[in-house]
Amino acid sequence: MAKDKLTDYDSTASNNLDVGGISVAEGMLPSGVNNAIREQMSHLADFAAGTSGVDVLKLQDDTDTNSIKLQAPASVTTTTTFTLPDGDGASGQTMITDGAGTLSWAAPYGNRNLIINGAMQVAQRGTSYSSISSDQYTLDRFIAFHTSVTPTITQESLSVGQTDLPSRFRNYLRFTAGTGATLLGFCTRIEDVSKYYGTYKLSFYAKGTNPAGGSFQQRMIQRFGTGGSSQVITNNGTFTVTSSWQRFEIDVIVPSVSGKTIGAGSYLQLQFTQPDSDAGTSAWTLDITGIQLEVGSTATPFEHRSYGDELLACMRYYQQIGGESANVLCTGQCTSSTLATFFIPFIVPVRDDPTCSVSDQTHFRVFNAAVSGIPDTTNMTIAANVAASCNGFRILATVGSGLSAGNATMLYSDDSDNNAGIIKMDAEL
Amino acid sequence: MQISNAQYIVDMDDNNTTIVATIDGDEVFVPLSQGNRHYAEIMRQVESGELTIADAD
Repeated sequence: MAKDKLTDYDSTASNNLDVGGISVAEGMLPSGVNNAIREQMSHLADFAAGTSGVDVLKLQDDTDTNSIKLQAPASVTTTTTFTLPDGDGASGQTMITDGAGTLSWAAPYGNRNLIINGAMQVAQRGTSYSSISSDQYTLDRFIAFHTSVTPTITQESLSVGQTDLPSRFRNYLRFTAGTGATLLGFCTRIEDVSKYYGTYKLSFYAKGTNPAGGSFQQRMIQRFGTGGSSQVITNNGTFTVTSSWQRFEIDVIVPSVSGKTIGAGSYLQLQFTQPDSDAGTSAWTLDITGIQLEVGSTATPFEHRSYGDELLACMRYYQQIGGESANVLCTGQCTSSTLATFFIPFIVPVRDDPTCSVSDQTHFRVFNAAVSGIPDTTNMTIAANVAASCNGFRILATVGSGLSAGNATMLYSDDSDNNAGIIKMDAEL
Repeated sequence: MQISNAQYIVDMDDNNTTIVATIDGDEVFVPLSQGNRHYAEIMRQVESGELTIADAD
């Protein structure tokens, strides 16, 4: 067989009797020499161009003692070209592919998204908000703000089997401004502003209708906490949506925090808003999901986390219990015929001592010794947040009568509507 | 943040431990913690003269 490429060559010199069919055996014609050299040069050119290859690429060490070898699998299904990044990445970065063979440097996968609930799947407080106060939390970790008009926020579901977004997305946030205005939008807050400065990449999926000026504004606000330095606002640019889902990628530069005074409760605020310069009143809608903020200048695919993991992350900032019929919440002790004390531990420790509240106090019950509920429930009240800490808090439940001092007891919510009788613990930023 | 009816709650040693207040229509119990956003806003409004916190009963 003719030796037409490098891999046809034999490591035993005497076995190489031709080059591309041109004889180089003993007694070859002198006129064949130049032809053989030319043939061999074409083989080298094919190798240089990637037309022909080698089985293994061996990179020797300086003393030719050991080597590193790069090798394709024994069987390759599809010929694939990898294009290396242009230069080295930052310390700690890893090489990733775009799925089309182009390699780049990016932060290591796993916990790289600084946004909690970016896929809009957790909604502990509810899924629809129509009378929103400014600075009110809605879907977990997302806050609406406004000054003169009242927007609505809903958690929307993507249809099963949808193909507009990658398959693992199930929800998105819909912000509806019936009337446009400046300083109208929503945001999320990242704990501890002192940790974040430098270059970041923001990415998200969005669709909708634009404000009167034709675009939305994305900005960062560094808030340095109680007693801290004055806030710093950085506008990172605008984006324009259409009626179809698109992925947007925005370069984010967070200014240095050197020299700043950091107080308690500091955070970095990431917000989407009608631009300051756009006072138009046209209605607009923004559907958004897959919000990701990551270190560096490369946008990587959205980092999906399980619902359970995302919920626990959200619970560092907000937890609620109750709201279900005959839902036992905790155990406690009766301290008199009308008073019982309960300690409710948090599911995960919260960020700071939380604000506590109780909705619809008459939807709670306290068991008496007969475990039949307290006869007089209309006088029952719950005083929350006595001795609250990051780990739990105490509840004092007062009833009309029927308890026995010293007895153990249980507190449960009794809500036939499944949306009342809720104890809320708020440690949001 | 609409805040009204702010009043301290004391512990058995008569120390202020909590502020009960109405915030955006809900009665809430706010710890005296600098990192708590409701407490920070209450104190901001107190300093600006917009709000007064009543002593405990």
